[in-house]
Amino acid sequence: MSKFRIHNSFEEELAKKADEFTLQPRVATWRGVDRGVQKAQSIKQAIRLAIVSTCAIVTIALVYFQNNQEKTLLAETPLIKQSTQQKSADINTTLPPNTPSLPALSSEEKNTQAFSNLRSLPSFEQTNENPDNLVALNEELTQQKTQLSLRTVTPKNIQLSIAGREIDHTQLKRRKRPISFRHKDGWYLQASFTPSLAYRNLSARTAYAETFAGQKNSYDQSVKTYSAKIGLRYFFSDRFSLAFGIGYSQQGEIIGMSARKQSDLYKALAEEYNYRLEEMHSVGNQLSYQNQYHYLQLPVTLFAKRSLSKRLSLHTGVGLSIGYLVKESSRTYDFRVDHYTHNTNFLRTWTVGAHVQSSLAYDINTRWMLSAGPELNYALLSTYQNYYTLNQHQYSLGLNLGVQWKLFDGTKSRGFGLN
Amino acid sequence: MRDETSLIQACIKQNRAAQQKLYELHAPKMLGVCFRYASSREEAEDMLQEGFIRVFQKLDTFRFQGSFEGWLRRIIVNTAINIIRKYQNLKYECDIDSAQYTPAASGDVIASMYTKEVIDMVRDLPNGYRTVLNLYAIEGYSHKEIADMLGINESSSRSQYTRAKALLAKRLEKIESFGITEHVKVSHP
Repeated sequence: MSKFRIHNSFEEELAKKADEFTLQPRVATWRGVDRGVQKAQSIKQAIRLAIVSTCAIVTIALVYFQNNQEKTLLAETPLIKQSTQQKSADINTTLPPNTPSLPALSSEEKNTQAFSNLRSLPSFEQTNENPDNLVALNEELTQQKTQLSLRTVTPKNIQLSIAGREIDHTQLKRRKRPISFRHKDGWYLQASFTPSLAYRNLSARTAYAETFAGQKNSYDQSVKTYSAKIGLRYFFSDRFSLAFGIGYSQQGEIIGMSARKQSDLYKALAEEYNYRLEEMHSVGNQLSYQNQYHYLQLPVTLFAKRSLSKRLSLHTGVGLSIGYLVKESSRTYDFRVDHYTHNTNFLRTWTVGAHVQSSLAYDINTRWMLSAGPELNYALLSTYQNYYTLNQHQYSLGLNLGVQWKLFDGTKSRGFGLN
Repeated sequence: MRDETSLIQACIKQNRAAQQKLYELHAPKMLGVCFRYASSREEAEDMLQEGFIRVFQKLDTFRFQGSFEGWLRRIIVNTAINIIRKYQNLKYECDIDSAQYTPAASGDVIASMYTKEVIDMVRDLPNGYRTVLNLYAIEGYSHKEIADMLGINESSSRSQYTRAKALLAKRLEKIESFGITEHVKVSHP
């Protein structure tokens, strides 16, 4: 209330009479108050529990994925050694039990035998090519030497620091604190960081690719990623707001692979299609590789706000984003060479994604707002070009941690104090 | 004062008996406040109920550095305003003649009236007028603060108050000329 008001006798007398006036409330009113207080208390506890549970689940998930993504020199791991030995054994068993050893056979017999062995390999029929020197090829097949060194990139730890400010209680007493934090006509600068789990939805366009997609689905795994956004948000009403800005997002998955098939055939194919041999791996689950696609995004999100209390509000947003592939580290299966290869031509450079998010926002004061809640991103376009036989739609589910700072108010301050 | 402090502290600790005691201590006066803003007694009790729920939720923000009653009253008033804003249209198609006719409102007549009569007279005013009159003349908010609270222009607040005062003055003028008992007839024909 203003201290500099001039009251005449009318206002003074009116205030005096109003002050004298009392009414006895009904008993039911107290019951309503009591019920309301208990209900509010239980909602408060539920929200606290939800926040703590979410934090705990995310922490456990992050720790779990962190522990499962340590750097390993794959060629030296027992698993790869075992794989190599197993592969040799598999190839030897393709020979009939009483077949004489290759050196004992004539040149023509060796060729026939080697060709028979090669045909038994699942990848041979897919190549439709006749190798020239099958004996050398067969010998090489028996000498499985895998020299792979894959490096799993661990996402860098990103710290989000929020410079909070304590509420100035002296200001509160001067009635600067609003009864409810209204955001209408306010422009906010907002930043968010979302640690998330990413994976993909895979479908095939041909029957043959469908078999391969099935294999991939059984071998591949989700990956721990992140995304970060910065932008502006405008509340065109107290309930609705529009956010836009720029973002950086990492998508991907862990794919299962096996050692490259050692043969001159694949060497020849690699040479023909300009692939590096060390970047070629066959299908399997003997080793893993983390596909990473880094996108620069322009997201637009429409938010709806629902106030839960004076400071707490629930924001639900849906939006679209245009993404540009700025960096990748991936292996894509090339059906022509029957191997995973590093081929960026298969990848789509521009993409469009949709996202939904829901967050609990807390108004620290009239300027600062913190928010946290789940966010789901889904790529509407395939990771791959249209001519590729697989459709891969990336998606990620994460915990969006945001901070908003009010730049300026479109109209005037709507605050009025409580204390 | 010390008793009230310990009572508030017990309420902060969610002691239901203390909450009931604090409620019983202040509810009659606060219902009187709500009654001035509400259209009916039922609505006033709804305001009181909502207000006290908020009071118990926010009690931990009370700093013990001023009058508790003042703090409580502001929350109750703000709750009443929120309810009015939510359910009622504050705009009022005003009677131009009555708005333009602004006799000086007399404090002496009010002083000579019974409290209930004054309150009834205020409550007889249209919603928008009544709210602005309550906030300005009784609660002591400035027009700028009222404009912020109600989401209207400062000039609207000013004009609504002037009109409310004019209407009251007109009625008071009748009471002055006919006497207190006549007023009852005027207000409740």
